[in-house]
Amino acid sequence: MSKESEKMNANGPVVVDARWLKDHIEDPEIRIIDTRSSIDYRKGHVKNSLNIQISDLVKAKRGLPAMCSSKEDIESLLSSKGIGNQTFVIAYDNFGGIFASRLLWTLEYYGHERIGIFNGSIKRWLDAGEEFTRKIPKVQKTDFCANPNERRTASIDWVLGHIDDPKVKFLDVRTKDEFAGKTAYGARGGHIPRAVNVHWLEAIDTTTGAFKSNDELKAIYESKGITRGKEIVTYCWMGLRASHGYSMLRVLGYPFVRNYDASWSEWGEIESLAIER
Amino acid sequence: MIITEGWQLEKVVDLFPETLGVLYAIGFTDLETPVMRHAAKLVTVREAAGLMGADSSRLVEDLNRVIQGND
Repeated sequence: MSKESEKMNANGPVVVDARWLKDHIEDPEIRIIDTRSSIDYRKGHVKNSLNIQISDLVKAKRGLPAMCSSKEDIESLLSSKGIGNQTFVIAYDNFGGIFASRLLWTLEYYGHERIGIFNGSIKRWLDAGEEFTRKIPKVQKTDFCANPNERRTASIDWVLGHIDDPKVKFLDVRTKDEFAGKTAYGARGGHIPRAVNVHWLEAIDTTTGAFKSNDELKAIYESKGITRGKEIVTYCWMGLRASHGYSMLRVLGYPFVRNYDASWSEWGEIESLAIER
Repeated sequence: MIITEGWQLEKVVDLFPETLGVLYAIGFTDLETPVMRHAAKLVTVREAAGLMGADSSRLVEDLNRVIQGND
């Protein structure tokens, strides 16, 4: 990782814009990852980027549809993409950063915190006058070694163990209707007791498609009691939108953030677990 | 039938696949894929426009123009 990138990354993941990406597109210490579908990637992508799809990052487990892939699978995947433990990874997508955020969380969970995320959808790269290429770069295979950081994830047992812990805040990033139980994907509607709701799209400036400024984001989260000193657990339906909320908090420098990967696809299905509406 | 801002994006492309071109033009380039179909479940037309920094009223107009065969 270059000294500049290292400095940028000192307090957590960084957000990069089209100008920064253009200036670093040939940097051999940076690996740009396109997290859109392989179909879209093949149609055109940012120069020197490689493709990692969401389906590479999640697997169905224990009846849950989209759980984090195994350590071995992630090690193999990242190594095949030329990502080593020192590589600075920049992720982008075309859905407001939701897929790129899933990669960001996966990397942080597996102990790799040298990562940045493109500011909004990659359409903004094209809007800035930049181009896509169809050329797929050849990279040298690495030997990525994952070191799972259990402080970046929350299991159902962890959530239950902290359900009344005042130092822990549960951040539900689903819609207001999902939060209130008016819309339910699965057996039950509602939310985890004590959770607060900040829809993941509140992080997006809808006039530009970019992320809101750090000051704006901080104000939104703090107004709901999501503060740096707390341990924050993000969740949604199956962990995708939750990764976006996770990313935004990490970009703001929040040190203690976990993603409840199974999210409502687990909590909502277990009748014995308390819910609020 | 008229598409409104509150429609889920998934509903739009399921009922009216002919709108894919309009959505492609604002940046949703792979709504045919299963993952993007899932993502389309998560946003309304208004929110989809916002994700791409597009004008939602204009997007609704364009979508309706296509389904009414006036494109």
